[in-house]
Amino acid sequence: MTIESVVWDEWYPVAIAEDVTPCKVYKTRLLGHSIEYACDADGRVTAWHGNAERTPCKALTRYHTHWVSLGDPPERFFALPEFDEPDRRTLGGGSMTVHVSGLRAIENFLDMAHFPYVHDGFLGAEPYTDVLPYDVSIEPPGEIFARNCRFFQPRGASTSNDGGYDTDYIYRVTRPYVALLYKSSPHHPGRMDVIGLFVQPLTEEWCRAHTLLLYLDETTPDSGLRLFQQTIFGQDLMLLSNEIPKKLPLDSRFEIPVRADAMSMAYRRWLDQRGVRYGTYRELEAQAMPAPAGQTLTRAVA
Amino acid sequence: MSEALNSAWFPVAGAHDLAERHIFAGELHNVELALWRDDDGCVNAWDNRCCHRGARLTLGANTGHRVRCQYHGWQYRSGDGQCIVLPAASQTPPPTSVCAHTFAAVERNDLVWVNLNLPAGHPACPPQGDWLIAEPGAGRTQRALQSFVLHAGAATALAGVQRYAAFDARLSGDPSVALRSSPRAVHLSWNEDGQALQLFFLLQPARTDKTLVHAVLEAPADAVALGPWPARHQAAMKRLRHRLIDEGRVSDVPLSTADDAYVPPPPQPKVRQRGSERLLKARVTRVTEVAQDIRSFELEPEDQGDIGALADFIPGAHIDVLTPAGLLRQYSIVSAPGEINAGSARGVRGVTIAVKREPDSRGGSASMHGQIREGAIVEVSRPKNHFRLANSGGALFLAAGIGVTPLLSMAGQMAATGRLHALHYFSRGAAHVAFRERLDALQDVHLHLGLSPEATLAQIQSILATMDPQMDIYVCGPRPFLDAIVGAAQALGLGADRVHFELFSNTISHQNDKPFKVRLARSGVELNVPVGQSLSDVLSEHGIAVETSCEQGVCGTCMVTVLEGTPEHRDVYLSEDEKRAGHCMQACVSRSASEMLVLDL
Repeated sequence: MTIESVVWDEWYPVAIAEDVTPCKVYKTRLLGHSIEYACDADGRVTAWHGNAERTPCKALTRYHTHWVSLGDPPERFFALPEFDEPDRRTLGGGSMTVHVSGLRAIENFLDMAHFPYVHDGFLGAEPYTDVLPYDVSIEPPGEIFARNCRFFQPRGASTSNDGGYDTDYIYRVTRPYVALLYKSSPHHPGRMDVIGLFVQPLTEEWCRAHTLLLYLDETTPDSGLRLFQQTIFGQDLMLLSNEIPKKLPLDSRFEIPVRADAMSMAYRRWLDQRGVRYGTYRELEAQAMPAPAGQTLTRAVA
Repeated sequence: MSEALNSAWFPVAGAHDLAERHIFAGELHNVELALWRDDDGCVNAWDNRCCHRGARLTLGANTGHRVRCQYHGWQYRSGDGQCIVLPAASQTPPPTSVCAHTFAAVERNDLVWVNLNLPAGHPACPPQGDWLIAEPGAGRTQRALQSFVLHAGAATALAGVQRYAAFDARLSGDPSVALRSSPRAVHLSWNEDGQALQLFFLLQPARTDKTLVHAVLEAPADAVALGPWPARHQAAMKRLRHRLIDEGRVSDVPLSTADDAYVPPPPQPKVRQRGSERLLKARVTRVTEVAQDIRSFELEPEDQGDIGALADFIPGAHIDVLTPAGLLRQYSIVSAPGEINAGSARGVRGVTIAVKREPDSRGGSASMHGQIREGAIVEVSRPKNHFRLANSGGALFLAAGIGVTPLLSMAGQMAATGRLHALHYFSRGAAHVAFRERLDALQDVHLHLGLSPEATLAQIQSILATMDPQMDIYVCGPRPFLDAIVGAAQALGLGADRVHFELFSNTISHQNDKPFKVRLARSGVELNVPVGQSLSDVLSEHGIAVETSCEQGVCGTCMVTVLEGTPEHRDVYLSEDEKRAGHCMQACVSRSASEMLVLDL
């Protein structure tokens, strides 16, 4: 299959830097292709196709993460100024393989409404289920933001254990398979912890989700921060691997959004406008469902 | 899959597989099924996919009369599959488009049968011709035995099952065994220990390469016939399956799984239409004069197939009643969910509504009072939940006259769950106070009788000034009463989001609506869009199809192109730039800032 340029000519994460042993060759998949990568003793990453010729791929390390591209990726990487703040802890939160489209994994990451059900007792609890209106905007250079998100959380972070509090969130999507979450820090009022979800599309229906933590927390050990993150992701894993179809449908008559899904809707629309097809469920478009009046399913890039 | 196969009924489970409060995962023609039984015993067969974000419903919970999706807690009710609780927006009723994809299902021959081509509630019955099985004869009984999976196509499975007798010690040497076969079933009949016995094998094409073999034993009803049969059938089927695997006909491991490829259910005839849903027959089991000019009517579903249809609702709900005068009227439910009517002979869960005879009635309430007697049959809708309790710390209920009806149901819920509440009931006089027994069962009830409008306002101000700050306010009564409370709450600085009241016709706030006109450029037709009605509703009433989905301005499905005029955007779908440009709008929520909009329709 031919993969559209917007997906093909892109950087994808293959590992968080600290998880890679120098001079060891790792095999993985990207967009259905076998690839291999390794770091030298200085931590420089190289990657190549897993074929007899070992055709080289582009590879680089950015934001404590190794990235590989099979095509011709853009020069400019997305901005992450918090990475350079000296008082932040930088560490990986784990890499998990999931039997679902990476786009579904990103969408789940952008969603608050599932907290009281999937993360009961951690990120949410009944009866505090209502999602208050929040603001979604497209901001230069074409990133999606959800601002003024608030949600009551019984235990929103590994260190909070005081009966719950309203947590402020900002969600940000920079690339089809890259999302960032900013959430109010329990330790530094007015500043926010950052969690990056960098998704590696292994195939259209399998992905590997790499998590990067940029935290303002001087006390919790690394293992504690990681364990919390992995507990949360482990809860998501059950749901993600039970979403059908595994690819992300963009047609809102097939999967019906409500107001709480404004961010998810903006993400699906943004994917559609960019012409992303890889990892999306399009089978019904050709069949029973004609495009609604005034709306075409694939539009020019905004 | 062929049309002929697909148009038919298939057995998908033994009746006992659908255990209480369980959701059984089934498959038919590669379509995943969520099969479950509600607490009244009614069987539901649904596409195993939540229509919100695709989560498998079998991951969720059967809570008695609803299935709750595990992803976002959306709750779909038994019967029509309508979503009635959407926790992310607990105050608004879910759009009618949010509904499980249902299949027709019946129990027969101790099996559960499903037809993918028909929705639930479809009156057709399963054909029995080439299944070889019929209803048991007089004095005979049918029992489903254990179902077995064969990892092979249906034709291979059929050829295998035809050899069943050879794998049962007693049948293998019995010359009286007669075998009949059809493309989807095998029938054995014989005499054993003086009894005429029959075994029916019915093949369920779960997947192209996976077939379920259901077995039904038919024996004299008075025989203790089933005794050895579960073990005997299990042993024979295991031997048969091993042989088929040894012969290379059947795989010992699954050849595919549902995760390999998603198969959507086949299209169904459209029987459910928005706004014209099917009404059900309800029997009036009791009529009571509960106050001057107010009668209560206890209703329960008449037809066995609708038996749970009134059992489940959210306190504050109403039903539509087709009154003898021919008018559809909304009446609030006063009873609690799951209540068994005092007058019910069958012990069926129903609802109690209250109807006040309106002096200027156009016939609706007058015909209810004048013509409906105990034992009468009326047509009603399933409960509709537009008025709901919020998740706040407490509730202050303010009722005037007949408006007490939904508030009593809500107060009952607050009392039952031990949450803080108080009820103030304004009435013209003691003779007009309804439901004394229900009031007595509550704790913090205050009657305000015979007050003038001025005195009512003063009383409202006093109640709101001293109310517990944890409470939200719930109002039901005539418009001036509602306005007085909203005004008093505003004066006290209480947020509008803490005052809840009943809006029968729509879920979106219409407080700032202005009427406007639209002209349809292609036909030149001009239409008025009044306050309280959406553009999409007006268009569809006039036969202009604008497809809608979320009905909340989120999904973009109902986008229409604007040629002239200035839309007033109330959606969250369009970007700020698109809203400023004003070339398109969402017909389900957005209105007009100009007097006229010209649409490209």
